[in-house]
Amino acid sequence: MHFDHTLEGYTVSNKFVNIRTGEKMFFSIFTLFIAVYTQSPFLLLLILFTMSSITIWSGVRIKHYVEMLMIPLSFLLPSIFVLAFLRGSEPVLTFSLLGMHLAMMREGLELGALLMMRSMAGISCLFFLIMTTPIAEILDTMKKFRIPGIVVELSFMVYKLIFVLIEEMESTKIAQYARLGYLRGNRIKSLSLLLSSMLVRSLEKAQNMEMALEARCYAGKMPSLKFGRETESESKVHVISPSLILIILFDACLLVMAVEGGV
Amino acid sequence: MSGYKDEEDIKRDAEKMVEVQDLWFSYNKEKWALKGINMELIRGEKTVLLGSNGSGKTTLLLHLNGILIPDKGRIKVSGNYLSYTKKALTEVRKRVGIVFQNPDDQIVAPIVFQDVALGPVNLRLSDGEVKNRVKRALNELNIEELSDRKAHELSEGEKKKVAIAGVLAMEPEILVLDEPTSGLDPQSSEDLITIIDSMYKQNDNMAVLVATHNVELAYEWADRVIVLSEGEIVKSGKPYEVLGDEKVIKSGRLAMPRVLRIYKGIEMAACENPGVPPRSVEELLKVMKGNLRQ
Repeated sequence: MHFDHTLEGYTVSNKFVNIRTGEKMFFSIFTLFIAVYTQSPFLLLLILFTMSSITIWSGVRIKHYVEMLMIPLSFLLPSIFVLAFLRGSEPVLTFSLLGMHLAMMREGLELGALLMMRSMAGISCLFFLIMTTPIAEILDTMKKFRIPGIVVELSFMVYKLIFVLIEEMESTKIAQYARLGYLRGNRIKSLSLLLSSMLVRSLEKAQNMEMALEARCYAGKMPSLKFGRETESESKVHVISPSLILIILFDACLLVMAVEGGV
Repeated sequence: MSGYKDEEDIKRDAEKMVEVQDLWFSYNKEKWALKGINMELIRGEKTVLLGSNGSGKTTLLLHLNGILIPDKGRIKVSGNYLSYTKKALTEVRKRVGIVFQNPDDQIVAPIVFQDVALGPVNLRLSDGEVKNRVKRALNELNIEELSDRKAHELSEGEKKKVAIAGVLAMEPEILVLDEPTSGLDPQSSEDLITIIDSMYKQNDNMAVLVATHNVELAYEWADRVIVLSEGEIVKSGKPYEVLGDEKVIKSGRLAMPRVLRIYKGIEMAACENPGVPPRSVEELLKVMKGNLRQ
């Protein structure tokens, strides 16, 4: 799966294309805050469930969604596993490994499960945003909300360079495979060669890009999206829209449940 | 395409848009990359800078808008010597637009119109003016339909055009293109040259400089050819004068254009009235037909 193309494809052709970026960002980020704040597993599961089903309903293929989820999961699971051994006093499972006595604790397990749910809920919020909204529009909206230019510009450059790096990596890797890299004995050596050549190449790329930007008098300003479209600015007079009302209702319910904490 | 421009020297002096005077430059202080370059670009003239790989073409181009600073020598743009203050550089870069060889280095914004707007926006033009310029630039390159496309989805030829549009939107007086046809298939490169041509005709007070190692393109298209080899200018002049010279071809590590080579053969064998050599296959065929009838 080519994440760049698939992801970008979803962002421009999903059911929420016509909903304003600000609304989507508000929905995603406000719900994320609730997920960080709440202690209730029920609420976290509710967020995870709604967010991922909305995202999938908008047009993302389940297979791709799960594949994308696997990336953060592969970081999450090991750390949560370790956590289960570190906290608490009531052992659930004990065994010895290489002469060490290890005990899985109930408290640690519970904490791990909560953490896991919280992270997944948060990730589903962010997935909703990146799978339904083009990065250019997110950055544009960030600018509108007076987020400092340097932050917006940096995020943009990072985004752009991710793809440059992926491309460089793929072509270098193909070249290595063609010359019998990554065979049994030389896997690590091949990887180290890949990394070092990527460093050199990306520095070169960065320098070329800098020269090209300089040649066009770049002074830290990224053009906003309004230059391409002619009608949009006039049609966006309404502040209140059905989607916004829905979002506010949903988030208000979540907030009340989170504050009450009774569920 | 027919005939060559024959200005008088006085007029030429007045129309000099860029003057490079005895330019020396080295990257690492061990070896000179440019050794005493003297060169000028004339208003309304299409100049081709010919040179093999590593001859210093790109290095020379990067001096024209002040990205590189010469170790010795000076550069005059529109009558003023380059000074390297921030303000002066912006002014120069507005006048001298450089299209880089690799469009991927140049196209930074995710969407085409956004990238074309980058120059104008950073020149702090008004929103209306930015919109106009983006529209005009896309129109001049005949790529309005690409306006809303994502930059990384474009074909190589489309990317080149977008890169040119991005520079054109700054409305430069001097347009510099580094290897515009490299990496393009024959159809796209011909297409691109036609577009550069029509664009140049629409802005007749522009000077165009194309750096390439494509001798056929240089011979057929240029008003003036400059051959660069190992950081030195070997010869500069009208295409047939420069490219018909065996010595220049050899020291520049180039090849004589095919049309010229064939014509030279015919000329030696049969031609009675050697005049201006033909520049394109069509012109060559015309000459041959004329001679055969006689």
